[in-house]
Amino acid sequence: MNRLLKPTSTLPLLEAKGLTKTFTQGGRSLEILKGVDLKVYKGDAMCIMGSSGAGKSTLLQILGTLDRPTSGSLFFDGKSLLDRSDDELSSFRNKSMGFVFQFHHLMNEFTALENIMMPCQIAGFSQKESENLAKKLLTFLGLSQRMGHYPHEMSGGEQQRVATARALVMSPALLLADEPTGNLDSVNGLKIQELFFELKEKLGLTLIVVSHDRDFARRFPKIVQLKDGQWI
Amino acid sequence: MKLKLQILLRYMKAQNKTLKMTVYLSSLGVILGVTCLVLTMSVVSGVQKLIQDSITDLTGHMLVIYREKNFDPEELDSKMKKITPAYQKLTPFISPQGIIVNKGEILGIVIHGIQKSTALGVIHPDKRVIEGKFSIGKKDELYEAVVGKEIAKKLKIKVGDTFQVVVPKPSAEKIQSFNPVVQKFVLTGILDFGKYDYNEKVILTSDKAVQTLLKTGDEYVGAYLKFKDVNEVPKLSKKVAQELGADYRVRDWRELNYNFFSAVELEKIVIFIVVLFIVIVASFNVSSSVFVSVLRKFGDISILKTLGASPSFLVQLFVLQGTLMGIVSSFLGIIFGIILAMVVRYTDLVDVPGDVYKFDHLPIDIRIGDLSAIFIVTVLICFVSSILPALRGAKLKPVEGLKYE
Repeated sequence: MNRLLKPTSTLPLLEAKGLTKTFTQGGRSLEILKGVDLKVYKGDAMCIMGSSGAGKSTLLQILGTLDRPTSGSLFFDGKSLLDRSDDELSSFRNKSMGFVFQFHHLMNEFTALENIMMPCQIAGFSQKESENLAKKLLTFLGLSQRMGHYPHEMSGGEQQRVATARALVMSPALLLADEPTGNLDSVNGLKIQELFFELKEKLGLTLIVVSHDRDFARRFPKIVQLKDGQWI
Repeated sequence: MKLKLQILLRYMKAQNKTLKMTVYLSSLGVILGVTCLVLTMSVVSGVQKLIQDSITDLTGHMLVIYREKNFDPEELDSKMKKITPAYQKLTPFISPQGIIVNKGEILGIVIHGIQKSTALGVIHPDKRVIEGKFSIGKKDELYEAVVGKEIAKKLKIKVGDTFQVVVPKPSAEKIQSFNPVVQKFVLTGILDFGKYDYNEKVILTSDKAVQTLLKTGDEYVGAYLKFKDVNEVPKLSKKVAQELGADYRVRDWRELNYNFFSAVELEKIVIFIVVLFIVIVASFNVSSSVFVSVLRKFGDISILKTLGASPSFLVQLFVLQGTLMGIVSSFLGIIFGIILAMVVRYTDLVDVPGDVYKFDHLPIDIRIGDLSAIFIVTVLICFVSSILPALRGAKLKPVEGLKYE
């Protein structure tokens, strides 16, 4: 996690320029993003808000290199991302980005520990090294008792904490979260919010969160609103 | 690869019964195809082996005939030792053609006069006795002989019976004339050479019997040769023929039935390809089974992509599934094929008319080479058939898979 403690620079960690995304549906063109620009610096915590269908999730997935924009450019640490191959982007995601979604999306056939180990194993870490990292993180998140449990044996809050641990195990520079509390009750939702800010403080994490929750959004120093694919 | 295998095995273990059934049924097609391949290849190889054994049991691994008179077996032996270290030993023979007469029945035959002391170290007609015993000595002033089973059947002769052999001996005075010489033999054994034309044409007796009949002293016409590895002999025969020179005529076991072996080798390839179509058709099931996995695991594919799994990682993951199905199915198919081949071998499940074919029972020879080829080709087909669904899986955009739980 040393990478996160490097001094911040004036160069944005993530920069998007003129992002557009158009889908064709039934022969009709549907413009979801209409030239979105964005600059996120190291240590930033940004909340993207907007009504349903505003393009928040599409933007987050493009920022996370899970989808490519129709046009525009994307830079990470000043280096262009969109001219990289799919395999190169996969490796980049593995090392530099963590994702948390509304639904935990844990792999049901694997235990909490194995789920967290997955990114490390994809990166080629040894079994022991992966296990050590995952155990450390599970203990940090207070889930050491749940290591051998499968997702269906855990509560919604625990599942989301395991998903967060999985997103953080590779010490990414950037954590992207799409409605991370959207599927949780208010108590567990609050716990996840606390966890996010605790992680940001302790690990110096850069956060981009998409949320409908105004109370959650108010805690972010930077809030941006998206409407019909554009900032307002 | 370890992680992919771990993911796959976990998926397979967690599959519900319906999905497991899909995998089992897809694999069953491949298993049946491989079973058929193993059985057919075993039969074709069995035919090859049967004819090869029939030839080598009677005439050794290689047959060398001296074109001139006064053949010297010792000279040939020393020459052969110099030519190739693969050569082991020889036994001389004399084999005139003649007719056999008994109770008004007449048959054209070839009499193989073999040297009693050395023959059984090179050829193995003694292994082929089905009635009586292999004895080619002299009993009550009569030379003993053994015959192929079709001769015994056609002439209605039994062990202990006597019969006459007439051999046309070329006349020394007139170039186009011959003098018939007659010899009486006592039948000591009936042989099944495993080859129909041998069974209806071959009489085996001692060299002395034939030499006495032809009044040729201790003259032989050639020798049967034995080598270390019978399968290497066809490769050596050209060299042996060149080294021995024009005075010798060299024919290895394959040349003695060249058309047959060439046809069987070609047929083996054709049959392999035809029966392989069962596996190819079955591989479509493997392909759809992998496709079902891709669709069912769309959510996991998406999440693996967010975690940094590359498209090539996902292609390898699903190709591994198809390949694993191929490996397990091939293995089981080979086991079932061997069991079925054993059943065919040890029960007279299929009756073959010996007068139509050159053999009278369905032979089985299970060869490691055949099994390896079947295994490799089947696994390769399953590997190839899983590439397309794996590519589709790798191309799926994670966006949709991440929308819902």
